[in-house]
Amino acid sequence: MEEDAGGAMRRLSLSPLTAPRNNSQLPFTPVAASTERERSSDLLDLRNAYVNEKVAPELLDYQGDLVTRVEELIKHQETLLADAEQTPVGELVRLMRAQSLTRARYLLRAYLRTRLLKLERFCVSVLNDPAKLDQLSPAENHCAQDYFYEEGRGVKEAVLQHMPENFQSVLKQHSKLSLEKDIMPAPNLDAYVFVRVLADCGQVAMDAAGDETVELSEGDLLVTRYRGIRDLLRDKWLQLV
Amino acid sequence: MVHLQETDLLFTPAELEFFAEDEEVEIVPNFQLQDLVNDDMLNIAAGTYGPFRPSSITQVPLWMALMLHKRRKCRINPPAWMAAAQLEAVLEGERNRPEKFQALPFHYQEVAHLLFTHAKDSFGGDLVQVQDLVAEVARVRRNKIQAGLRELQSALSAVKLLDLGYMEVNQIRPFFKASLDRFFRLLPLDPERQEAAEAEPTPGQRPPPRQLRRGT
Repeated sequence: MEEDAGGAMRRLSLSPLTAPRNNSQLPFTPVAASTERERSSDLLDLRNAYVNEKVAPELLDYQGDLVTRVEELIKHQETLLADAEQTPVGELVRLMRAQSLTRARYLLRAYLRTRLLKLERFCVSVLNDPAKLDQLSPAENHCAQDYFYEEGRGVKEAVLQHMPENFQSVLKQHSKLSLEKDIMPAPNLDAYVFVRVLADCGQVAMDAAGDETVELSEGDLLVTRYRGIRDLLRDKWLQLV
Repeated sequence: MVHLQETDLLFTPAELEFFAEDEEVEIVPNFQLQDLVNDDMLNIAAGTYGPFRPSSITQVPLWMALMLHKRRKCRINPPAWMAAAQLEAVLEGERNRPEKFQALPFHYQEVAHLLFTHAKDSFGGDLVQVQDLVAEVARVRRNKIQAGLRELQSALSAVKLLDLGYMEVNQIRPFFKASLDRFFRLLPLDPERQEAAEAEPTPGQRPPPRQLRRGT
């Protein structure tokens, strides 16, 4: 469980959208909470991570720490749920706790599921790229390899083995004429995405030649090519929407 | 295994409502929550909320407000931006200033829809008027968006959108993506651009036309 040094911001994010109002207490420690309401920053971060993952054309870095914290939060809340009081108000509390848990579980599932879907689609290009492999969780890594193997085997048995000799490869269009593996669906990094700017970035180059620049100020909402903002997204200067 | 469809990368309306339900609203509970361990606060996954005392206002997420309201455990106060007078001012602004959008909460359409469906009594006698106003504001904004979309004529590196709501963003998302993507893919074939590249005046000899590299 991550510990805060009394009130320090624990996030890299500069975002006013994800910064919690009162950061001095983790929301799931049972010691006397402050009498101010306080939103769970982890769930907000998970929501942002999910939206990022859903909108981005490529697989993003796996937010392992965040996922672990949310899993612990869910587990803790489940134990609290079991201890519910049998009074009318206790019943209300139990209901609200259960609903909040359902929402948290949904977010977590949605995040992981979106990543798996992208992994399946771009399986070969991910497995081929060591940098990409680092972005996966161990479970996802395992899953990708299994998926590739099983899918390859299925395609071979059903179709490829019946094809003419030079066309039986899963990865090459033509075994002899293709110089490299060329059946590799890769994400379209030039896809246009909606972006919310979290902090002033100044003039940002939108293409490699640096000819086209855009002024990005905090709070801007814009549509732009993913490739141009890829690094900014990774460093949390902006959020996909 | 079901392969990824285009629609898997879009948000469903149910999901948009899910996000909107995290927005906070004011409620007036009619019950008392006493919990010595937690200082009378409710400590759940989404955070810490309260205190819940009869006839005193507290702020909670919309999903919780609706849940309590359904069980007649609270009254929901409509958000300030949904007052009839406020909405009239917004509508006025939308009509008089066609070049910009009035500032509205990001999830204004979803929140309005949820409240109109599940918490009608929050509005009292103003219900119909507020419903009409929200619908009209949405309609005027939609027209403005359509007009803006018609102006899209070429590949642009970025398009700034001013103060759109999330529902509106998601409505134009497929169109925007498809058209801007298409413009971008057609760029290398644009004769004007090729001529401009070739005709760049430089002192001394003319450099060769710049080869624009596109990603695979």
